[in-house]
Amino acid sequence: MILKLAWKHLVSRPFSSLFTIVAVAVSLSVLGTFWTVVENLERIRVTRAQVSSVDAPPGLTVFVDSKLNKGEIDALREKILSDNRFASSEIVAPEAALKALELQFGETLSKVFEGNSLPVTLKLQFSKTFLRGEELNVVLNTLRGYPGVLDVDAGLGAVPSGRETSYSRLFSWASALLLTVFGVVALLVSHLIRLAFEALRPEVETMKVLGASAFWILRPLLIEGLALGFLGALLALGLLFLGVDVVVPRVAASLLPKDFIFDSLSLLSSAQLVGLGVGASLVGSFLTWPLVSKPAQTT
Amino acid sequence: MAGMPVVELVDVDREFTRGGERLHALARVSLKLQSGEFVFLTGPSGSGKSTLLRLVLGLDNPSKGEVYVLGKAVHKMTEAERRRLRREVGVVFQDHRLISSLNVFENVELPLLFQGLGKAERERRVLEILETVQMREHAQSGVTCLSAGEKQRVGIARALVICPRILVADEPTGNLDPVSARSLVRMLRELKGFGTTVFIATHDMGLVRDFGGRVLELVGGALPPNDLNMASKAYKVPRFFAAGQNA
Repeated sequence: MILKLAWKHLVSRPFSSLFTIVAVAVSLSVLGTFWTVVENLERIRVTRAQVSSVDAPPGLTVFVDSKLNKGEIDALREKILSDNRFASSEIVAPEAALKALELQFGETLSKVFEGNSLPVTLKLQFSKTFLRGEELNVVLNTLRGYPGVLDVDAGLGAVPSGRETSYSRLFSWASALLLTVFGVVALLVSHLIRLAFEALRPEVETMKVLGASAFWILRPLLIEGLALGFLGALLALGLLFLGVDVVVPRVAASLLPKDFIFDSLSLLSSAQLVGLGVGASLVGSFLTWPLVSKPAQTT
Repeated sequence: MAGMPVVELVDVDREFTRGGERLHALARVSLKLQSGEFVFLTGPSGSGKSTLLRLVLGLDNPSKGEVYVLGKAVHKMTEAERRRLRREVGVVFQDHRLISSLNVFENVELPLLFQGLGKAERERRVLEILETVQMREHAQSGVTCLSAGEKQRVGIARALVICPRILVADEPTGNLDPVSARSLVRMLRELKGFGTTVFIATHDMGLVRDFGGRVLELVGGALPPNDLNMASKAYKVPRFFAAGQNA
């Protein structure tokens, strides 16, 4: 019966309901767009930090089995360079590697390796600046599968860059926007529920006379708010995914770094967006509490 | 607790302010209704009948005085307590006030839901009371397609389904034809036998005369100390008219 009453509330003003769903979707889309951009900028930041790090050059280090002779190492090099994701490679002899360790960590630590023979390493240089996380994993697994390869080091020692501070600021803006959108959605839903409440006021007042508790009357309104928020959030997600798939490649592709793939909103952020829509709508529904709890205005 | 009135008003005043002027809707009204009484509340429009019923139902507060229903001090209750009290009181409205989005069965079931009764018990009671008011075959019908008389019968079923100790009806026959009106009041009068106090506000003196019972007449917001003697209300043909007819 509660569902039936909630449905009656929703359809009692179909255009207002539809308008509210669209308005909620637009509000959440604004926030979702911002989140999407921030998420992608954050990915650029992490990649750039890796690239600009002194300790981790933009490439990979492949550790080769010491049993391989020079010819086999050259063959492995050629095989790796046939993958166009790599621009160049350099063979680092064990002696040179030990010297590099001395420079980096001092003599004491490098002495630990003195008794052990270090492997031959190949320093690989990427042909493009940015690699997505998934793409990087594919590359690492491919290389690890080659015969004679002991391990691959992605060199992910990111160092903080000056940009990090500015992205942190972006996150602060995102939080402010989040609160604003939360408030807007709550007010929109509350407004519509008040309209529906006014339309059905005589019936609600009758229920009060018959002894309905304030919470009993509120329940269909909460379900109504929940439905509005959920539908609005789904519509917002649809708009966002459509935007990333259709609009970004056509409009913003030239603005993005070369080879950078603009991602849709992550699953977690999508869930958060739906949660925000539903939560704000429920808060909006609760704003009608003074109406449902006040004494009946009828005989 | 035996003999305790189910409704008691003690020196109740109700004042309203309209356009800076103070209006006395009720003035020093005192009354007691006992269990199983069948009582008519009469009086012209604006005499304070609806105000008195609102006070009994806890929908309004007295400006002065005390209101007790089922032994509880309504004038001291919170809104939530009043709503709980109303779950024990049957209410019949002049315009039936059915919920248009619900069917006949669901409308009658509503007060039982407020009481928190289980589904099986709700179903049993609703079907039984619909049978009593001869509306069982319409149980799944929408209320908008019922006639005024049928709607009123559903309204009465909704009031009776909770087995109320008090039934309050405000002009319940106002929208009915004379035959339906008498049939309805006859049914309400039968509730006396079950110990239910029936309190009906009406200005239909014909109905009051036909069914008797205790009659309280509100005049300008006040109740005379004694109940109304219906014999004094019998209309007589003027003497000059009778003389003219005989001439």
